[in-house]
Amino acid sequence: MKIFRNIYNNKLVFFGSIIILLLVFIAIFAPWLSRYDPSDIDLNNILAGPSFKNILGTDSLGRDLLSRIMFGAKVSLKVGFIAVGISTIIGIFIGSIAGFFGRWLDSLLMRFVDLMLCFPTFFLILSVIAILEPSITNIMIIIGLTSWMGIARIVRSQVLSLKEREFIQAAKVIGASNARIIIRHLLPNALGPIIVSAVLGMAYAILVESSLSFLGLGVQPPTPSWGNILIEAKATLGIAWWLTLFPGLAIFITILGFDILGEGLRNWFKNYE
Amino acid sequence: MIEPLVKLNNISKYYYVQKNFFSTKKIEVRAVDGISFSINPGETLGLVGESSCGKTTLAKLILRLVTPTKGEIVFGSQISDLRKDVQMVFQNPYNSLDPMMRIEDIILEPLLIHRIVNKKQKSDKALELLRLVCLDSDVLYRLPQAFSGGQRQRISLARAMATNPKIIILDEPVSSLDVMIQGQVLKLLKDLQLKFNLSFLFITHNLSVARNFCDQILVMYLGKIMERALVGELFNKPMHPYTESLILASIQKKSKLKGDISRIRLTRGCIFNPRCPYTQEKCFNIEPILEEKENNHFAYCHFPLKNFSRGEK
Amino acid sequence: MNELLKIENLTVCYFQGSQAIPALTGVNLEIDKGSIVGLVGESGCGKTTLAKSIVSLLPGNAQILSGKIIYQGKNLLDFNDRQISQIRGREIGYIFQDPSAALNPVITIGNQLIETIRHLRKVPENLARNEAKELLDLVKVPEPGEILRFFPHQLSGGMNQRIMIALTLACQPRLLICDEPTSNLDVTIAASILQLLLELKKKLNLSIIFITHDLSLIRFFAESVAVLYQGRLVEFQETSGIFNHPKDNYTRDLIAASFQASSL
Repeated sequence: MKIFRNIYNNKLVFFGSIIILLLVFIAIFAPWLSRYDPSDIDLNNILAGPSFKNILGTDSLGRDLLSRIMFGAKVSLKVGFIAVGISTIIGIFIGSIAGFFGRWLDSLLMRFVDLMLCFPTFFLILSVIAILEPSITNIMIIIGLTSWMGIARIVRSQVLSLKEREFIQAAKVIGASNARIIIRHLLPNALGPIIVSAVLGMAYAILVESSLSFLGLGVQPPTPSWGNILIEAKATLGIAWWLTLFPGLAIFITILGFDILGEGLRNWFKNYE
Repeated sequence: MIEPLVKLNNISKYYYVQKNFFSTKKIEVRAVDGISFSINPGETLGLVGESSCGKTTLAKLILRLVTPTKGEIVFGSQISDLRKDVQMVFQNPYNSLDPMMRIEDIILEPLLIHRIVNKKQKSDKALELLRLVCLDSDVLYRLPQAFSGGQRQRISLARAMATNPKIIILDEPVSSLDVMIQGQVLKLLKDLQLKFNLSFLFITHNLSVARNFCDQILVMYLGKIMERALVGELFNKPMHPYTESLILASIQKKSKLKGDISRIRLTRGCIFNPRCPYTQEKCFNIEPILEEKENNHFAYCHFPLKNFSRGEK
Repeated sequence: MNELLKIENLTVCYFQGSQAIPALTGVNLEIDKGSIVGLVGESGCGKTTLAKSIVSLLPGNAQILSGKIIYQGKNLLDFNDRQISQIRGREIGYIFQDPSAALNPVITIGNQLIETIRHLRKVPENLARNEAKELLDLVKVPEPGEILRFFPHQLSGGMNQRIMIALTLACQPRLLICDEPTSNLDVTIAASILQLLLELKKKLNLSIIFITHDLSLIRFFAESVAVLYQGRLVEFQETSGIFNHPKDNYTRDLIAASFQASSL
């Protein structure tokens, strides 16, 4: 109960988590919440503005925009969660090994991180996607593989400062193995910053996914995603404002949600310490 | 002749630090410089000295947390597994317990690592350990943050006792506690020592605690042993000027020493000569060695003190 | 009138959420001119709270509920921020436990001293520099001219504590509050700092409030001793009285414990 009161007291965490929970709810229950199938074409009702029948209007093929945005949320969140999962696991692995073992291994891994950061990530993703075929799975993997460097650096710096603490020495004295020290002692104590950067990473991953889909290299139609709704809207930009406004708003709110949740958690963990 | 549990032969640890930001010159800092002694079963050996004299480095050398530059550490036949038979209680109780672990997990961790207990015996063993350090069973499921310094030090001790060690290294175990709590923790340590025939290496800067707690005392200064004697001998008849001034500073709150401790060795001869009030010419030319001046009383000094007055009113 | 500072019925609470945690309850204390009062007690007994309420440096969640702090006939609690800053650091100096945390790590010792002096008195820089040297001489820093060019981290804890004292003396205070000034230092260094404080007290006719948890320090050092226990002043009398005829049970226990621990 205390944790709920703490969350309520921390306004950023409170609003952030409400937005995210709402989005997750919509994404999971999209098939039941939406009145129409997102790929039902109704040529008698194209480019209809917002009305009672179609709350956010319809697109150039008469598909219901609200349904498409709700199903798009599913795609976006799925990409976000899995890509961040991949990048967090890689980041924790590389960061903790570099920080814990130090010396040449640290230099080697950190130079590798620098190398990865030197590439303009977005173009790297673009070219890889262009070679492979664009699919949701490929996008998730490629975003995950190109966004772990931040987490690796954070984990490394946490490990570097934590390993000087006496309880790590104490663990060595009782004979704990290196793996045990990292997994049981170092990582739980570094959890705060890891969670914060994972949450902020979600925002980044969703943004990249939308951009890729907008460029036609992401989620392929007919599967709806916020990015490809936007690209279809481009042709009718002058006559159907709702087709660009609402998906744009969806992206905006999602990114904002993750950002304020991440920022709030950062403050929260800081106070907790 | 009893076999010592551990014997240090001429052990040294040097660190190299950069002189300043722009220079590539490295300065050698001798944290521990050619120290030899041994710890016998059931004995409490006090290691006394001021901060940065190398006390903690010495402890870490014995525990192989740092590797020596020179010399060797030999363990007797009673010590089969260093990580089981030699344990340590750290100075800062607020820093030596993992803040994310419950007390139960903290004190049982050594047993899990060495596979001493199975799942069934776990809770019995945890309760037994708590009883040993006089804590109630309701502490088991809480986090370290719920406890005071004294309680944390007991938890730390329970963890150290878990594997039935032969030696416990106590690194300033009471210096961050209030006086009244200090007494309780020291008494607990004594009781445990008698019950389990433990040996202690007791590191402290507090002479009065050392006097009440230890059998034999080593006085350290800048990585070297200045004086070594049994407690009574050392406090009634200190031979080294450094020991004398430590005792006087503790009773009278007055210091005869000049200047301040400096980690970097600048002088020839005796390392204590910049601060010594009794220097003679020889002290600046030839470095003394730690030698037996009287029966079992060793001192690193050319001119050991003959008489000592405590100067009490 | 011989008393410099008088604390009457001081009650301070800390607020944590909606909870009020009493830190001091009805404390009365007097400090005479040119005398040393020792303030002893275990950690968390309110020693530092008492000291900080004198100089209005209490943290934001603390509140003085009642009482008076009378300094030379004026109640400091009635003063506004500007008036109190005229007193704090000028009339009343404060020496912290950890000098390396109280000194600015990126400014040389010399500049810290000179800035302080010039902030207090409008003097040209070369005069201020001379004054800084004199101050370092006063606190017995060897080769003051050299030390002026050093940064705090290049000096030992004992040396930093001397510089902290010099910095405080620059303001020519009448009352010095020393909050555990030696408990981070080695015995021999601590002893020399105590000697220095005693000499300065005689030379400059200072009054000192000396906060410590170590009764054995007080014995050689203070003229009277105040014992705090859980925010209450349990005993306040002359040093010899405290050690020979303690009136309160807690004082008796504390003395017994520290003698047991420090019999040499």
